[in-house]
Amino acid sequence: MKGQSHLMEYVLLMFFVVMIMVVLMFFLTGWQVTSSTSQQYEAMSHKAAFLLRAFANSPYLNKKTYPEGSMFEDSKLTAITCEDLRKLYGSGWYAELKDISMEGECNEETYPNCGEWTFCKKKEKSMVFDIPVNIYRKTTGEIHIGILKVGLYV
Amino acid sequence: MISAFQLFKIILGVIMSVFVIIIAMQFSGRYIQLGESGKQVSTVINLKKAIEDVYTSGVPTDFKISDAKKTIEFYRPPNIITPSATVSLEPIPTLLVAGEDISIHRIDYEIGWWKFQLIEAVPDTKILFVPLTDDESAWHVIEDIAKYMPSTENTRTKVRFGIWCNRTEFYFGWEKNDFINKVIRLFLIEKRVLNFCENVNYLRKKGYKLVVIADDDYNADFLIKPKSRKIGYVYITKGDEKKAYLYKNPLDIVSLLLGGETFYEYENKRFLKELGVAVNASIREANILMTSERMGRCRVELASFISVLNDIKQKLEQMNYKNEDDVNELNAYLEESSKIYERIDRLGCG
Repeated sequence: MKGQSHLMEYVLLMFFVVMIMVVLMFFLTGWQVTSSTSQQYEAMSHKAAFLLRAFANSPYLNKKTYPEGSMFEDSKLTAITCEDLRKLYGSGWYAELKDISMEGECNEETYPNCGEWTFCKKKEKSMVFDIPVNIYRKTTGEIHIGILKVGLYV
Repeated sequence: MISAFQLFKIILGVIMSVFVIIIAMQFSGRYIQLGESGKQVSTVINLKKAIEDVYTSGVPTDFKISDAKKTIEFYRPPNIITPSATVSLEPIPTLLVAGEDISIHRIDYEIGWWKFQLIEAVPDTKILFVPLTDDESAWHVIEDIAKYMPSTENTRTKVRFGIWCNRTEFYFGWEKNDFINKVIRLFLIEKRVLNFCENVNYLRKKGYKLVVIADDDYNADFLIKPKSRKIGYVYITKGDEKKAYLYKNPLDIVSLLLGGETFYEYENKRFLKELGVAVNASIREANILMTSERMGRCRVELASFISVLNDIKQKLEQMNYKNEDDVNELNAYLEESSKIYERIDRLGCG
């Protein structure tokens, strides 16, 4: 009896030691998964910020004589399409640009009496960044303030 | 005398210990491997971030890749292949030559109404031009190539140029701006008789890239034979194999110089793809401006611009960048479009 109880004590001790090790392994693996999730979030926010900077400096959207960027040209914005921008910058995002002093969606019919441009389909579940930009109105030579919004689909 | 129970305890203890040690070692081994792979991927991701920053800002920067040979197995554009993962550099067109210390630059190729931006990320590079013809076209080719290589005056990693082997002499050490503004200007004015390098193997061992420009066939690793101011052929010899590549602009030559056929194919496809996007957008933009009253003074030029852009668009649809006639035609249309755009710009409509 005494021998048996010693044996059981021993077996129980070994069992607890192994359980502690298993719990430690699960904990480390779980920490890795959480860390990967936060890295994924960081990568997505970095991509959104990159798209914002890329648009603000793109020669396809900006006025030529402003190499420092962020001077969008309204005729270029009206001419370029979502498909064109997808070919240049990939997929999984949308962009909106709004002239704060003018309204109306811009297209070939409404130009130049318009102030909103939308590129690609907007989705509710997106990570969105926005920055103020300048918009050069080509037909009048005026410079207006605008807000560029870039959303990355989550 | 050990009792049976004590013997049992010893044996069970040894078995359990070995079991625990094996599990612990396997787990920590995998963890270390994960950490090592994570470190390599993290380096490459940081490289991608640096490339993105340079692409958007245009400000060059240096980057250190610790243990470059292990971290980057090879670069097949647009993917960087590491032992544990593949990292894509899309959407940025990049020519990357791996090294411990590299310099990242943005190169702008402009034709007036369009700008093609490309990233060149290179380690310390030494390029020695060997013109074996006193024809002016050789010097223009040298100038064009230097113009589209990185300007490393403000970075630690350097791209340096040299000229001429007068049998065993050569002149080397200039960075881009000095090379273009001082050296080439001098040689364009003074026509000198030139001779091929006799110490080619020595130069190769020292890491110089020899770029030979000649009218005739020559036994060189990298030979350029210009056919006109804009186009010609690059001949690359590797062992017994010699291949010819048609170039239509200096970017093609630079791609071949930095990464051979892989970079050449990648750069051409990307260039023509972005040109297609630019042409379509510019046609739409010009049509939009034609309808505006304020642009009335530019209507005639805009109409000519649209016409030549449509020619480019049609050409691109059946373009073969390895065909001389196609390339000549495309270059002619691009030159014409550039001239028309210059007139539009002068009228204030650009």
